[in-house]
Amino acid sequence: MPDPTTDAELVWPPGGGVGDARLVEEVRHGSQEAFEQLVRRYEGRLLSVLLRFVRDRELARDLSQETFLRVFERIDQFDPSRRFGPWLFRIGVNLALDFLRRRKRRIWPSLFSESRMEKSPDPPVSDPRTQLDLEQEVRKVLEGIPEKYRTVLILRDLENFSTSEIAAIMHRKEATIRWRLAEARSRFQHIWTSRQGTGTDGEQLAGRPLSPLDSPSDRHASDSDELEPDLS
Amino acid sequence: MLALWAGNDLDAAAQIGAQRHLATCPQCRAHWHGLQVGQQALEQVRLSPAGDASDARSSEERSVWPGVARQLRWSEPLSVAPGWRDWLPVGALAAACLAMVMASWPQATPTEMTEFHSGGMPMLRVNSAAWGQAESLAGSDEWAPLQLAFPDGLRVRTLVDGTDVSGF
Repeated sequence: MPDPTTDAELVWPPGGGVGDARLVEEVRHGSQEAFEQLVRRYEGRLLSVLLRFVRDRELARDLSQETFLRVFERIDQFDPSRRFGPWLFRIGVNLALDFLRRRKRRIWPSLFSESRMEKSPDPPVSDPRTQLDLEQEVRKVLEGIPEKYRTVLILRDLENFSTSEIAAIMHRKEATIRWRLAEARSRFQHIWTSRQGTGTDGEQLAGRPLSPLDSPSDRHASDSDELEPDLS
Repeated sequence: MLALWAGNDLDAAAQIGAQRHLATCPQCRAHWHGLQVGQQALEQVRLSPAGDASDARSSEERSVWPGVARQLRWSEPLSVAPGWRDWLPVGALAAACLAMVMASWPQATPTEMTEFHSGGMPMLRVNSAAWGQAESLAGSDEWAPLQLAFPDGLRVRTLVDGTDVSGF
């Protein structure tokens, strides 16, 4: 299980170096060395995150490069009272999601629309011992989860960001992120179980939490795009 | 709540409540076990980060910085020709100076001066348009002793105790 106590170190690199805010200020005054420091500070972590989304090293590198170029172009728009890391990762994650959306539209214009995925994930396979290894199997399950839940699940359970960091990256309330995380894990569990052929009849309906403790209730708007409960 | 607990995202008090509920609810227990299985799968994938271990290149070769640096366009303020906005302060200063000079410039070129001698004190007034006016002002506070170098062609009327002694 992810250890929340180590999250801060994972996201905001430790050490006695110059702080992000100072480097950003120097970049604004034309220091190329400062921007190089920022790039080298974050590129490994960013590449790891992008790989989780696109699963192609060269593509992830291209997206990473594009992310830093966008950051440089918009450095004057960055609010120095906020943390630089979440802003950088937001740009990177959005680039990755945009890429995936474009690719999906180009390759599977109708078969794999978001609504279809949400309503009807991959059907259970008869033989769970397929050629797919664990990672591919997890990837398949993740593809069956709507993007907004999948993104939170990847950032939390695969990349070990804390919920507060994910909230900063996705520009949402932490309560919203926690709700999405719970929903994402439940959906993952249901699809995973059904693909392994061990699910009960009721669990075949992927994405529908069955436990009373996990049933969404008291729905009201807490986000701009849809109704989600506020768990604050 | 169980889903958050499965990923260690639940505080201690909520965990105790969930534990109590699990003890009495078989449906939630089944869900809890399913969540743990799912979390184990995710955990295994998390511990084998995609690609990092298989990339044998050095950190310098892996860095995207050279590619980023090539595409960056740094602004160089000293080598860039200033736009018209850059001249605004200079223009404003020039306009202010011009206004000050105009304000302090004599309204008309002096063509005539009137000199009074009253009580031994020479008094002058420049551009006194009317002779009578000049007389009426004699001795008032508006007059002051002046030391002037008269330009060529300037007519000067001289009054001594009210009598014009200019000779023109």
